[in-house]
Amino acid sequence: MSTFTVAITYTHTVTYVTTKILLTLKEIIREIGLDPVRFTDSWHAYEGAISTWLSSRHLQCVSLEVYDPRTSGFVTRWDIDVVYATVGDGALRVDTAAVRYSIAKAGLVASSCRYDIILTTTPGHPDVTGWGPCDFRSTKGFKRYAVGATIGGNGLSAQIAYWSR
Amino acid sequence: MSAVVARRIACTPTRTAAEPWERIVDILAPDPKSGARMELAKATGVACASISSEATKDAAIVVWGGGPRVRVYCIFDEDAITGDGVNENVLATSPTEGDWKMSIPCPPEDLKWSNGKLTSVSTRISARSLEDDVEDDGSESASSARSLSINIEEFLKP
Repeated sequence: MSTFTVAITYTHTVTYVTTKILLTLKEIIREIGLDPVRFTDSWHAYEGAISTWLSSRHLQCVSLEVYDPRTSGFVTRWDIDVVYATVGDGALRVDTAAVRYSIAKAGLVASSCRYDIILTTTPGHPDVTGWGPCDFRSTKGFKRYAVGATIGGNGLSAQIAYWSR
Repeated sequence: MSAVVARRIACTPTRTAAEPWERIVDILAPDPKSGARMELAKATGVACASISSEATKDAAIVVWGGGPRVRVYCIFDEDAITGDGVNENVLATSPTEGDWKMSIPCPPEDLKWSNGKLTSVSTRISARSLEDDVEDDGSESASSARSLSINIEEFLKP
């Protein structure tokens, strides 16, 4: 008798987590009342940067920053923090129910709002074409609320938080 | 009724969402200079969102009207790693020549914005709810199939 098991490598985990981070961002954008088209039009660019910097372990956070285009003022932000670990149970998972519950709690934004995707990395990251430095808008007067670990895998997980008054 | 061909493409965790879409485009429109190739490229965002949601696991991307009817499914998880059930072979003839159409399945909540985007870039590609199928004549919806159900009580009347 022969037995087999499928080995899930770090590369598999990076691919899975990259895809599910993008899926989660699309869900958040749609559920808070904004149009995902601007985001999905650049899917390729986001996918390339996130997978490159997850592979090199330089990616710290993927943020969806929502702002009022008339004033450029901060409206809300969703952070997907990346946690690198040396161990994991090997299973790949995404908890979309937890994300949707948090979106319902956070509430809608005005449909006139716009958004940016901002990636935070540690120094020494490899260059990815099209990406450059930028600053976050001030979060003064807002609090950060943790949703918890919603995407995970073999030695890599992503924890979501959002900002609200 | 035309011939039906199926292809099954390996996706996560061996490929991200954009990579299998590139493979699907290669299979459906092998000529890199064709108009179909350019039209499919404009649907990349909607297709990636569909693939990442795994809508294409059980509901096919369907192409019809320009050659063989092609149903493309995506393979996920362990089967994507082992290659079990994967079939990415090129097609004998391109299904995107002539008057072809494509239907991309998506979760119902993504239908509105997906079709809004596709309508703005293509007259051939549309999105449908993953709960619906594409009929042989190209029309969509399970509701039309329901209208053909037999009323047993009436049928058995003398």
